[in-house]
Parts: sequence; structure tokens; C-alpha cells
Amino acid sequence: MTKVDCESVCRSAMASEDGYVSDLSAEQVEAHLAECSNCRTEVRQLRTLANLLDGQKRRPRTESVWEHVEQHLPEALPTWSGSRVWRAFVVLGLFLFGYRFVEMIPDRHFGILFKLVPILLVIAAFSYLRENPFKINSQLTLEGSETK
Amino acid sequence: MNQSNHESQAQIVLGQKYAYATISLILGLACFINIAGLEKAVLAVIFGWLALKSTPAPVLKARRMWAQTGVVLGILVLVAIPTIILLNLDRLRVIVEALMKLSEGK
Repeated sequence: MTKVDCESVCRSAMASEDGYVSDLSAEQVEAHLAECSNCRTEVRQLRTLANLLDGQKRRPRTESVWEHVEQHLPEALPTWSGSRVWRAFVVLGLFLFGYRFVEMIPDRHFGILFKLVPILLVIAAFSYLRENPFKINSQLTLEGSETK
Repeated sequence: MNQSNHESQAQIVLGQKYAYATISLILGLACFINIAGLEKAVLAVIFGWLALKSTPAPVLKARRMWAQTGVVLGILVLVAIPTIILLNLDRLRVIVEALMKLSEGK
């Protein structure tokens, strides 16, 4: 049996208010509160505080954090697997060989713009791979160490 | 301390191999491009500029002169070849026509 004192009465009173099972019965709490003005004051203050807290609403988050997260994402994006890069370069090589064969056909003059075709093919391949060969990579990792 | 030094050296070697891999691919692709030799000059200027620029740190000290020379030679070709072509456009036209006649005559 729980001892009826000021602390247990206040705790039980607030537990009842919050919908929990209290150690003391409602009659015991009421009987104590009727006699103890300190506990009445404290329970009243606790109720006021509880009501105040219940009245609070969580502020909806309107600001977007995605832009800040996105800035750090490219480094975390999965890198191309070796086979996909290999396939892309094989296709590029075949196209370049095809271009060279077409260029070597005698008695055919395709004009100066035809010379730009391999450049466009190379640009297309690097765009597909999302790689920039002229960018300095500061994220090189040693073999065996974890990749970032 | 020794481990750290070893890793640092490994990073340096790795960086150089990474650069060689990039240049190997770019030169391989450049084999299929022929714009009066200007494509090689453009690559020399681009790679030289990449080697010489100060960001990201550190700044290149060894072989800095190599990169500077590469950039200068590239720019020289980029300026000289179009200038020569423009100054001798009429002569070149005659040469091209003569070559075409030779080609048709065989």
C-alpha cells in the first residue's frame, strides 16, 4: 500500500489527469487535497502547466532542407559500374571506327562539318556517363579503402 | 607516422596514374579527330591549364615548366595554323584543286 503523503498525492493527481493509473485512489487524493492547501496549490499549478502544454501545437515546417541536402548528394551518388562504362566506351569506339571507315571512302567529300562528328560523339559519350574528363578529382581513394 | 607517409606517397602515385588514365583515353579518342592538328593544340592548352591552375590546392611545382611550355606551344599552333591558312588561302585553293585533278586523273 502506497503511503499517502504530499508527493504521492501530487503524483497520483497528475497521473489521473493524464489518464494513467495512479498509486492512490481518487478518494484518497481528494481527501488529502481537502486538508492540504500546499498540495491544492501545487496540483492547480501543475494542471495549469499541463493545460498550457496541451494547448501548444507543433509548428509545421515550411522551409525546405532539400536544397542543402542536394548540394552534398553528388558525392554520394552511386558511381557507374565498370561494365556500364565499358559498354559505353565500346559503343563509342564502334561509332568512331564507323566514322573513320566512312571518311576513308574514296571520291567522297563530306565537307568540313563532317570532321566535327567524332567530337560530337565523344561529347555525347561523356554526357551519357556524366563524366567530365577535364575536372580535377579530389576524391581519389586508395585500393582497399572505402569509397566515399 | 610511417603509415601516414606511406599512404601519402600512395595517394601521389594514384593521382599520377589517374592523370595518365585520363590522358590515355583522351589521346585515344583524339586519334579519330583531325582538324589540321588543332585538336592536339587544344588538348595541350587544356591539360596545361589544368596543371597550372591554383585550385584545388596544392599548386604544382615540379614540372611546372613543362605545363607552361605545353600551353605556350599549344597557343602557338592555335594562332599560327589559322594565320597561315588565312594568309595563303588563294595558294591553298590552287593546291587543293591541283590535288583533286590529280586524284581524278588516276
